[in-house]
Amino acid sequence: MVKKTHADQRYIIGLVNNDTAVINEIYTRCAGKIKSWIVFNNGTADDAADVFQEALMDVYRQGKYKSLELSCPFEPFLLLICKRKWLNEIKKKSILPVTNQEEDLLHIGEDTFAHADELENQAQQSKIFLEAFGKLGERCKEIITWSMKGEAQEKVAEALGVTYGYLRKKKSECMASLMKMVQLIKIAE
Amino acid sequence: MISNEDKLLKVARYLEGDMEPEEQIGFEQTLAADEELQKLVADYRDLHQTLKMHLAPSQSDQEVNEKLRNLNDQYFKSRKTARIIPFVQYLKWGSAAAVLIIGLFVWAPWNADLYEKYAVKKEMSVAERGDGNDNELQKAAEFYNQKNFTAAVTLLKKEYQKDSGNALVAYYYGLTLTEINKPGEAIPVLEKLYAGESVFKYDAAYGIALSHLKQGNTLSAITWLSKVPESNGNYAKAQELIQKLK
Repeated sequence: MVKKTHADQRYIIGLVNNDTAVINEIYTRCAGKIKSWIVFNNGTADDAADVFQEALMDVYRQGKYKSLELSCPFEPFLLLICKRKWLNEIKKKSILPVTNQEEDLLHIGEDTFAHADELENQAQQSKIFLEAFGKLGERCKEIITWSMKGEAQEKVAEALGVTYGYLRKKKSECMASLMKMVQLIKIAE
Repeated sequence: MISNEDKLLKVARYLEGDMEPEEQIGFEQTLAADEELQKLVADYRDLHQTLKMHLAPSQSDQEVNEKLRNLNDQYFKSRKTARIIPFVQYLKWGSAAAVLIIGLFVWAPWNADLYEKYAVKKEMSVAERGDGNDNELQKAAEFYNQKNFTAAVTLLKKEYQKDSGNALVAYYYGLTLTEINKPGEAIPVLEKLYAGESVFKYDAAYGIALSHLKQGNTLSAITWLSKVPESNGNYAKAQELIQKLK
């Protein structure tokens, strides 16, 4: 079922377009809440700043590269991502959270959880993709990296000292090998 | 039956635009009816975009990250407040000594050197948006980064007159005015910026301090330096400069 895009999609658009007014609005609405929550849960203002920035960059990347379409309000979505990030962080540091998480999250809708889950899945996927990429031969890594930069293929071919035809053929082969590698890693897990 | 490897290669060739038109039409027909192939196409797109995000982050990604970092300075200020050194401390030394010191501040032969040392070294970077309006701003940024402040100021002035609410323009216009020895004109521009809530708020405070320093007005410089919070990138320099100006 295709879900209706929430009006708060404007925050995603503003973030992707580096719109100062929108980004300021996000900070004004959410930064204080996250700061108090993290400080209340044994963190510092600096921890809160790091978590907030990281969460916003994750949302930005999803919006820009994966066309994230929000079907829930933006604020609880962002707050949920930040809270999960901080809970993961304190798990690593073996600090117990103070806040009762269930109660705290009761007012959040299903879609918000789904979006936050998706973001976490994407982070997990990224790890697998990069692991697979690391296993490719040097030439393939070089060709893929250059191609991702969005330069004209003729220019890339010249920079790599190969012909245009070879580059096109090799690039598809390298990407197919990478897909295969990802499949193998997923099976092994 | 086509092997998995062949399918992967076909998907890659299709999405990389490496198929001849006829082959492409054939592939699209197969794709429409083959769910497994559709899934591979979706997976490929996902893989491609993820790699692009990690291997070739664009300039604009860095700019957004930088903006967030600056906003963090503003919204997540550490609870430790900057140590403010009031000038009245000196009065403890007795009025004669204070008068002598004030006299030295007014004269302030070392201020010029201090200004050079503590001036903002950060380059001006302008996001390319591809519309004509930014060309002038980009030219201004180039001049500014080449330290050709006289050329930069003309362009920045025009941009500032067009849109005095643009924080980036206001900030660099202010800094440039100070560079060309017009700190008196720089101060109102930067004070207006400081009064707002932009990402440059506290950078503006540091800029105002530099303008006062250039005017030899050490007291005001110290006052403005002490407004720079610990979370701002200029904090360390501001504190060091306060010590030197004492």
